[in-house]
Amino acid sequence: MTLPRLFLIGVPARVGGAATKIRHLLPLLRAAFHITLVFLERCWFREPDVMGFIKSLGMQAIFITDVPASPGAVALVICEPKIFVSGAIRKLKAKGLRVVFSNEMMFPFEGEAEAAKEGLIDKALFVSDFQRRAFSRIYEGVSQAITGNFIDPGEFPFKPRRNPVFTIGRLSRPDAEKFPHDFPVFYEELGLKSVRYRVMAWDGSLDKAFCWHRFGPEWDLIPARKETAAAFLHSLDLFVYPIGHRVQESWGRSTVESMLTGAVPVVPSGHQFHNLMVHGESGFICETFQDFQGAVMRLHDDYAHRSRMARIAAEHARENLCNPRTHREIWERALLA
Amino acid sequence: MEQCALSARDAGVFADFHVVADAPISHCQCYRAQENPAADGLEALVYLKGGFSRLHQDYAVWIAPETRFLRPPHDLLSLLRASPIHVPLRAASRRPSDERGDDDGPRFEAAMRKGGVRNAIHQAAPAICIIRMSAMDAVFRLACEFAAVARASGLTPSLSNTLAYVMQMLCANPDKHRVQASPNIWLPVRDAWNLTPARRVGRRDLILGFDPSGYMEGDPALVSTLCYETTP
Repeated sequence: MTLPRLFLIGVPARVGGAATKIRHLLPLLRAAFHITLVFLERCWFREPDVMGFIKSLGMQAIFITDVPASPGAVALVICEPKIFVSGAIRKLKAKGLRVVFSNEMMFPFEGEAEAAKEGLIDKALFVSDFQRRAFSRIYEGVSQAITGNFIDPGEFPFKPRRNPVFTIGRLSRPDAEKFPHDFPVFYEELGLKSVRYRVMAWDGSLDKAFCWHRFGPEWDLIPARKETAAAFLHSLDLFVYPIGHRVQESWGRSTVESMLTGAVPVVPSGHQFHNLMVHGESGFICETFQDFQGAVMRLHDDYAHRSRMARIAAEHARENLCNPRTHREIWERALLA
Repeated sequence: MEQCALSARDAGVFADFHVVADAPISHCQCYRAQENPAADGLEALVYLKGGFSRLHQDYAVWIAPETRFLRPPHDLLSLLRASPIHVPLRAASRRPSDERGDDDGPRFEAAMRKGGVRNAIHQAAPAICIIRMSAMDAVFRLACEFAAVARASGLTPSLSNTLAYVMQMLCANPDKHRVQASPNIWLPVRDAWNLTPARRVGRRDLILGFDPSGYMEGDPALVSTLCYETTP
């Protein structure tokens, strides 16, 4: 049986929600599609980790200009900001492909609204209804589907943990906007006496943003990919994730990853975490600093409660958020219907 | 400002007071004030950023002329806690027009929410402002952002509400920066017209009534009419 052809425009890297999403989607969809990866930048062909991963799946990667004329094939574009201004989307359409676009962010890319209006996007995918509503004007009249976000639960096994030094931390791409302006103060003011703070992925831009803070020995600021995401999350007792006020999370990939591993998430309200967890059962959704502090102290002081919540969070993520069969069906419907 | 510096000398404080002024002031190192229309209400921050950086200090302490010293404020920097800035905070007045005649209070609160303040909104009692110099750029950037948000809402940002915003964006826990959180620094005063003064403190030009009940646990070093709390 010939599988339907799918050109996936994006990069299966290890840093950032969209890249890791692609990394987990490829194994999920390869039984249903004949997949070719398409890069907009040639530098990715020189990334051994990315190319090795694609090869291990028995797939190929090609440059955008090398996409063949393929009437009826699907071009799935995941979070490629330059797809519109570069003119690549127009070329894909000219080659007969059906363009399905998944933005992943809470804001449109340059040229996205114009492309939607011009009919260059055949279908828009969203990770949540929260995100879909943010794009409702742009995609009025365009076919839409909510695909959610798939994380391979096998990559984030549950691990019971009780660190000798209580450890809180977070995992996100190194973007200062993802952090509140007072980030290091926020952690330190929680009032934990003996504590370790771990943050991945840290880089020079974050050093610069928080140059005014004196990071003591309790801080462990590690660069992207220094550890695998799973190993990093296994090292945390709690995933404490305050977010900068200019950022809205369309889903919350690292939060679900933390849940899978058993790091209890403590996250802010105003995003869409209420669709990922039940407040007080599988994590905490906090309005104010006092809410964060109350949740963290309670989980710190009551190990039995923390353990119970960690198991509930992991089971909830595994059963309801990251079920491979459910996601495969959703994606097949979204791409073929 | 002269009275402020004099009270410091009387209390045994001999730190330099650097003052931007249009005439010399005793007990202070004075610098000529310059017109800066671009500062638009944030002159104190502009001077701190531009002028204080030339003094090569790790911290800048801005003090309002209304402030008086009762004793040397030991460990003033402890007010910062983990934050790079300290401005005394007080609970926002729930009255439509507070004692200082701030009719725009609710609109400023809305501007602060829009600017990202998530906790209960506080107002500044800017008798003093301590800034770690390495954070001056971040403080100034936040101040300018808030001023822009406020102006876009038809408000005129003052130093007080701008500092209140910056403080709340950089401190995580505003409760720890409230006036009554530092009884060893501040002698909290109540509104003179609301107060049945149990005691009075005099410092030459300034007689303030204060209520010794409730939170008079420390040995306060400073007093200012700016540092009053409506809800002790």
